[in-house]
Amino acid sequence: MALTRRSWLRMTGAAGLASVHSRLLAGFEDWFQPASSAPGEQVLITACGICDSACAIRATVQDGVVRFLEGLPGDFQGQGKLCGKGAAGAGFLYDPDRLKYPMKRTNPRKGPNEDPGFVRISWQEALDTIADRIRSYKSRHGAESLLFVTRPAPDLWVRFMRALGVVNRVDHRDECFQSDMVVQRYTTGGKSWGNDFENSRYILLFGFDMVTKTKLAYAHGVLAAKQRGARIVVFNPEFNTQARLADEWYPIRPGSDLAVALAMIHVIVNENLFNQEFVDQFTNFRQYEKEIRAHFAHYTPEWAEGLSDVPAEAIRRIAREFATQGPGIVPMHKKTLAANYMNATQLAHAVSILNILAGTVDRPGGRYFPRTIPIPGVDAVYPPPAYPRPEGRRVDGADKLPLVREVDSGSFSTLADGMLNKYPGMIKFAFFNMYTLLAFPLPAQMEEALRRVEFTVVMDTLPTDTALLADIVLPSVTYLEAADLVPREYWAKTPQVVVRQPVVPAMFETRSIGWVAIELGKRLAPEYFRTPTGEWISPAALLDEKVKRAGLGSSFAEFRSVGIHTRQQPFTPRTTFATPSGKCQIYVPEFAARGYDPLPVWKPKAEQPSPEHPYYYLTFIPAIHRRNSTQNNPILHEMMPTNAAIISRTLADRLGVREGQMVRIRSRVGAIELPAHITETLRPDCVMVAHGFGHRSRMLSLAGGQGVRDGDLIPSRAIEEFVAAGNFGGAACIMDAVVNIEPL
Amino acid sequence: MFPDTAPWFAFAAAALLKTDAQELFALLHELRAEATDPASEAWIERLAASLPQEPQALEKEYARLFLNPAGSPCSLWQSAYGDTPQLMGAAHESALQWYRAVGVQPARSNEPADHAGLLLMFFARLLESGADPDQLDRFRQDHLAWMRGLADCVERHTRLPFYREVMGLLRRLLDTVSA
Repeated sequence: MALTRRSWLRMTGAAGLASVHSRLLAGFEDWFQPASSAPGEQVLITACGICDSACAIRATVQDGVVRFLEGLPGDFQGQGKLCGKGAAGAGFLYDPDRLKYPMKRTNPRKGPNEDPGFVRISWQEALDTIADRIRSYKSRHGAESLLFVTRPAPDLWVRFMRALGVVNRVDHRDECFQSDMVVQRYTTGGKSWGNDFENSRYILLFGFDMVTKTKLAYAHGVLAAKQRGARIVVFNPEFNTQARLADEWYPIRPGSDLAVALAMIHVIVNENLFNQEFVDQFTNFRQYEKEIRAHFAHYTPEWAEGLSDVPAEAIRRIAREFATQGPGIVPMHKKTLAANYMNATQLAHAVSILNILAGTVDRPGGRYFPRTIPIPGVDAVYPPPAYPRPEGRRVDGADKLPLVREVDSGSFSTLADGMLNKYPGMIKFAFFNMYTLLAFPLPAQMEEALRRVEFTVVMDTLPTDTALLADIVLPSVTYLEAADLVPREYWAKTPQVVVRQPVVPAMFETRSIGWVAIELGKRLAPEYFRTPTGEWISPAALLDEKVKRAGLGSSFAEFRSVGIHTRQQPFTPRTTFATPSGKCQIYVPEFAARGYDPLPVWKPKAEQPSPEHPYYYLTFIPAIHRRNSTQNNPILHEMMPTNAAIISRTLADRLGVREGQMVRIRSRVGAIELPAHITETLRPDCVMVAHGFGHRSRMLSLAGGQGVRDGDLIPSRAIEEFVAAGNFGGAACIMDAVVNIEPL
Repeated sequence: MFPDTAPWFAFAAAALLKTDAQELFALLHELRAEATDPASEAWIERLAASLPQEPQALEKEYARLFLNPAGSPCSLWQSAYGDTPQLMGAAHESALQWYRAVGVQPARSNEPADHAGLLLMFFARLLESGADPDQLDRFRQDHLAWMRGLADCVERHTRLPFYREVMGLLRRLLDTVSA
């Protein structure tokens, strides 16, 4: 008999079922229902969520399954393209390893060989349990006993934490752009991700690879500038992709970028090559001219050559060209050294001064302040009752860095020291939202710190290594299942907002952190989660209101169908700046008032090569991966499944190491063993290891056990080290280690 | 043995969809009531004897094997066993087509259709409905053959006799319908 709908219904109708195996086969009705018509092909616009660039995506969805992701024409960020990670985005959505249901631990012992004994629970039980724990710890030990390891977003989640009076919220920005944020606040008046590469004529690139390892908007910009004849100069220990496109490449000594930047300022100031009009009108140069000239007088190119291995003549010539053949730009973004060395705060200041002297701050061809369409947050839509004043001690010691606190940031690099040594036992409850232990220097130490926390919640899309230590695990949606409005800031000369919409329904029982905030808020701070008319805040109604108030349409549903909104407006350069003086500040009196250096001062990186540890240890984020969150994506895994110890041919010959031979790299805090990869493109006194690998073997089916953790060699820090070193921007020193290398 | 395999497939499905030991025990009772041969009775005895007595033991082991936030050794979804492990792959699409051909679809629309339990439950229903042998064989090849890999994985990783017995039963059922 052929299988047809008719024969099926005839044979399995109620009468048939009643006759045999009724209970066993009746289970069918629990799991199946009458079919509805299959949805046809849809093309939906949404925003990528892999990095903050949030390029606009055209998602082709067939029968409820994402089939293809591509860039959206007209999008300023991706300019109609996606990077490899973005194009592979469905791999995150459909990762078999992803967390699917809320779970709780049944084995209270936490350790590397302990089975957590997770069992599935309902969201109701998960939320009730978490709320009870927070309530209990807060009442007995104060708000300082609660640790939230999470970005300060979305707005509903921030409201929840503020309503609780949370003191200890920490994110990774000290390993990223935090020092630059701190400096920009006082030198130019705001964070500036915008780099108008395409209109620049002279691009100075310290550190990170703008072409392959960062945002598409930057890559497009640098390539456009190159095509238009801009001069590109790269200072980097590695001859990377960006260096291959450059007019000049200098294999600078790690940690000495500051010396070169100071010497360039010396040349520009000494020879009066700065943009007179901009400097006179929009900076405090004249007010502090005497101090500035005296300060930089001794930072000569000859002095810098001795520290950096960059020839003095080259420094002098490049400084002159940069100042006179512009518009010139020096970006300072993320791993463009903003976090790498103990002197990164000074470097951020020096780089900011170079841009100011070039007269290109918020000018065509320079660093500019993003023009965005303001999206009102929940506090604007539904004004909250007064928030309690956060009271208690900062476990990461960030209160010792008041300028870091001004930008609402903290310190991953000192968190473990605070939890284990400074304030042992203070943290009773930890909530990790989308962060893995790999994100910390010396992950084993952070693991030890977390093991001592009484109750830990982990919300994530994947079973990261923090999940092993969790008491409750909450499954998060991916960005392809989330809803939001995304004003982007990486290419923002003209404001543009793109929708983030669920291109498919949230899979399994995954939820968003915003939804969790409301549900926990109802239990713990209900007065903050009601609308003025007394109903619970709903994410959908909030989005509708945001769309209306931002002038994007009448409802979120309407904006979903449009997908992207551009507000055409001329780019008008700023004439006042959001600094205390209203001018760009080369000399920062506010730094001086706090006892910091008002002008950038040469300071060496924290750790110098020695006979015991003769090599610089460099880490990097490869173009194929996004930090430590993409290694389990099948496509990206296939392209780069593991990491290696990258060393030069010269060093390999000296050590007697062959391609692929295992080596042991040891720093003062740990050792890793991995195969060597020999290159012609790296200084012979360096070894380079990609970040993001070394997930634990039983965690992730593709990434688990692949490669090593770069962070195992990176010392965590005590906050006092930052204070003593003048690292008032709290740069995490993620490349400051020195190591030895032993062939195995 | 297994003169009528449909209820056995339905039981195997239930064992991969449910973690309530009492409920599974009750289903074994159903099977026993209809068992007519000693081999079937022996299977039922072994399965019933292997059901854990401790509260939550089955839930814990199910979560550890299939849903573990600390890393699941075995996936219950067929698409995860393809060349490129993923959810919602070709096997999901194919399973949906099979279901829709007879006017049904999974009740949980936001979960993949190629869950081993759903596939086994559907096959039980196909058997029960007297589907054409060619159709049965095609479904078996399309959506049951991969479960030997699942059985290998579970047998390698499980700490509970029950899941080892269920996988033994599953292999036996697959052998029976392959013969």
